[in-house]
Amino acid sequence: MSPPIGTEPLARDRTGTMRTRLRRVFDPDASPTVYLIPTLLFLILFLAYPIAKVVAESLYRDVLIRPDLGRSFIGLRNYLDLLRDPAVLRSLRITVLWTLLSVAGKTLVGFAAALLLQHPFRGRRIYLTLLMIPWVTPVVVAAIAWRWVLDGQFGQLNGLLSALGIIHEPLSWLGQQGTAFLATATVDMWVGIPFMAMVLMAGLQSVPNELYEAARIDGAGAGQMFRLITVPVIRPILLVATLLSSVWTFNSFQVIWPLTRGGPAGATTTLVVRTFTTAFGSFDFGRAAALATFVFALLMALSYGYWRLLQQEA
Amino acid sequence: MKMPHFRHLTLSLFVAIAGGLLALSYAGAQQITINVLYPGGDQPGAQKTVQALVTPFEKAHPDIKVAFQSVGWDEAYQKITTDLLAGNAPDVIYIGGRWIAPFAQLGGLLPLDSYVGQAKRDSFPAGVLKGNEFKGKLMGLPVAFSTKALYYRTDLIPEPPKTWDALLADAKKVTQEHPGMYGIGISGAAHVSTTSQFFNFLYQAGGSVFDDQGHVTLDSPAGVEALTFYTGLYKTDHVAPNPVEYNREQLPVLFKQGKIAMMIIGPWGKSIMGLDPNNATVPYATATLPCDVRCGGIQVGDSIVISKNTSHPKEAYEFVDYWTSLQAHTTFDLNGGLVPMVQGEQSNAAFQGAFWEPYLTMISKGFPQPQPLAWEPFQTIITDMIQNVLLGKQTPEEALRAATKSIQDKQLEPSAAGS
Amino acid sequence: MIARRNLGLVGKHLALIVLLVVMLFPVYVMLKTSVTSFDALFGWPPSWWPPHWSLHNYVEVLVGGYRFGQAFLNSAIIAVSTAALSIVFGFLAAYGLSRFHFRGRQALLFVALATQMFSPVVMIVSLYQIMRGYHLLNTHLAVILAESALAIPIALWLLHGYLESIPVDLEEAAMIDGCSRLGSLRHVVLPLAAPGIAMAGIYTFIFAWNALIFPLVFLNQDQMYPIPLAMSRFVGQNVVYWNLLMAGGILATVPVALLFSFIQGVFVRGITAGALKG
Repeated sequence: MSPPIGTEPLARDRTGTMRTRLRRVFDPDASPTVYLIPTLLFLILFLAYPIAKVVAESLYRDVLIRPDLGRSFIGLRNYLDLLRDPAVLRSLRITVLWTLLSVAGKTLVGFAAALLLQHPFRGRRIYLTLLMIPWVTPVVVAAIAWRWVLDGQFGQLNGLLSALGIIHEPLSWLGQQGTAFLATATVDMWVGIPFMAMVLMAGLQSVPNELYEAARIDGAGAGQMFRLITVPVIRPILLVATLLSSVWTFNSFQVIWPLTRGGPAGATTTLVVRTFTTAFGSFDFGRAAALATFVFALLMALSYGYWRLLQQEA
Repeated sequence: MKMPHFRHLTLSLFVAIAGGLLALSYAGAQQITINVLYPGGDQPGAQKTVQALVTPFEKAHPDIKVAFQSVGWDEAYQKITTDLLAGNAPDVIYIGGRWIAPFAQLGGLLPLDSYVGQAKRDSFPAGVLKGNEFKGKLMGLPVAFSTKALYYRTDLIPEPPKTWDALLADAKKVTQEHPGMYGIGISGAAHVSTTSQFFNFLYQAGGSVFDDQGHVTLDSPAGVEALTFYTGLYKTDHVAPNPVEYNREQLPVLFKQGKIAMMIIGPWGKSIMGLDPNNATVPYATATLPCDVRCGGIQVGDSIVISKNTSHPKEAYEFVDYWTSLQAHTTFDLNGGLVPMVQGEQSNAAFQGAFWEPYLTMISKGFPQPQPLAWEPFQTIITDMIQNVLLGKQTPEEALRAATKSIQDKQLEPSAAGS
Repeated sequence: MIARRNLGLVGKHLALIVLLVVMLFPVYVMLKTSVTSFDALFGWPPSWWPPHWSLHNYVEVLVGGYRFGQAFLNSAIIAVSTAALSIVFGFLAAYGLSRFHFRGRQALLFVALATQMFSPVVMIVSLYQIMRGYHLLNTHLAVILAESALAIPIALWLLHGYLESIPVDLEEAAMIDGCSRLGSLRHVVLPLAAPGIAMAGIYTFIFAWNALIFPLVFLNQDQMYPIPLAMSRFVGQNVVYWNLLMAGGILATVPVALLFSFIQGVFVRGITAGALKG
């Protein structure tokens, strides 16, 4: 797309000595170093280093409330224990299902909203602003508000369903396993739909109008245009958006914790919730580090596959 | 469109922040400041409590300033943990008594034996002080002590039940005669109060969580009896609303709305409802807990501890000493709706009367909270156990066995502490 | 033809209204609860219209012991600084990755994505020690730096996609005319990238507006707390003051929503230009 600039040697640097080459590396006209170094340094210090420490920690047995056991190197034992622990496997199952559900919901509703809002029309601005409200609401506020909406005795949702005659006794939404799972996924969807809608809207708007015009002249119907024009063009953006959303949703903590604390009876204990309780409840930092690294590796593998798929598309 | 100069903006922001912080930090450091972390300290009413403590103390100790910091109870545990781990905790911390064992194991608490004299020790009921000990050392001083009593509707239940059978019978009567209302409310949510509620019944059935050597003894005939009865109130007898969503502190609201006719809770039940016993809508009274093989109820308290990393242990202890002295403690208990504990407090006029009587009686009939090495995972095991039975996923026997195994596997037994 | 179009328009409005009613249901509950007194909260069935209006909760939250106004200011400081920092670092790196093609370029982009896969929950203790080492505890700066570390990669992604859609010819023309690259960056690229920068800024602002865990752990004084942390104070040991909590929630949300509605035009343009082309 954009031809590489600045990679040809400029006339004044043809001497090729060590010093000139070094100067060239730091030349803002010729080399990307100056632009990349500050960010890289910052991220190495505040992100890469803590992550590296955590990964290192996962190779140790470190249970802080058992100082008598000390901190000893045990290699991959934490990981082996993890993979054999039925509770962890259950969390993995729950996390995958929950993520799939939430991302699917976000994509479908977001896409519907994007379709409705892609072309300018009177009042669109108002709709867009209102749609953004779940996004600008701090996640913690959203979770707490939903907890009140879902309250098993006095919540408004029960009030609504009762007024509609669907239920007679208030339901304990967060007190039963199935409904708690669905409720937390719904809240996560609620928080994520606006961003998805915006991204997909951008994608839809990037389809050149001429294609639609030409197709209409050729007599194509709305359904055909959608299938043969819209979908192929929007596919890469859709894939990137769902990939990002999946990664974020997999590690979503601020939605589940205030709502259910991982309950009832572990029905909403995703891997990140388990990581948290292992670290700050059981003080088993070695185990918790292994859990976090495991999730990291899992997501890396998944997105690498996605990534390769995307590269082939381009 | 003219672009704002982001770099300049960032730079000026940094300078502003740095400058502001420098200015703040330049407060005269002649006095010693004691930092106190008090979860929930921003609640309405708690501000009053804090002032009632700080003002007289600072007046009596002009060279000590007390700075209170608050945080929500939901976040308190993580905050305290992280602070202790990094050796950067506030000097004085107000914690739940159940957290003494893990924090002591972490090495974050300062033992108080050298500061607490015998007279001070004697001012507390013996059992209560024991709950603040860890491996023989005194780690904190108790506050916010509570026993539990049975609240019941005097217009619906003429005589308070004295046994489990009577409790069940009364609950059934109310549920049948008043559709839409339940006989009793119990707690089953993943909350500390659920463990207290269940342990009451466990103890009354003759069981216990840990024995004197610190081994787990949940899986016993008494345990089965207690768990079957407790969960049966909802599952088989249908005299309680679905407990899984409720913790004990939400029961007063149900009581006030006329949804339940009985509940077991501390004196703050009255404060939450905001109703006197002889009110017109839901007249109630308190009674001692019904008995089975034994009579008794759990005694729970919070504790005030001093962090090991404090640079002012002497001054920190002076404040702790003051907080647990008779006068300050009485004010604290009165403001918080708590049970008087310090010697001499009970004779205070405010704690006389029919409402308080069962609570005072239960002081001698009590048992302390179990002390696993780490409370949070222990709580999860117990509440999961109860919830699994409530949700029909396990029988009481299976649940108790699974919970016992989990406690052992996770090495939560006090006997695993090593020395 | 016209009738068909009108029907389509009506259908569109209908669909949007239904969608928004469902989506904004919790916001309605928040509003209703925020003007209700605590005692009136617990009734069945719950009322649809608050029986007695009162702004008392808002007064209590802003002026009473909760110091919410202070929390608001703290949140603003943290969010704006994080956004500024993220934009600066993100833009620089995005420019470097977009305008120079070198080996490992795709890998770096992937690394930026990978940073999102590690849950901050476990990094807290090491970050805490780092901040402590730099004597940054109990400063907003610590929170800003930690939040930025997580926000910069996303800003980088967004800006990179945006920059890719700006043709190089304009810069090249400027450089042929004697402008240095940095100069062309300032005078040519920056103005063109304005919508993308605004978008990245808004995203990172909202990201930092959400900050809970880092402030919880790094800050030791009530008056430094940003909004999400300040709101946790409404959750007592025994009872949750929903009325105050919801009032706080509305205060935390509405100003940002209003702000967003003003810069909405810029924002939409920023997304429109193929912002997420990998």
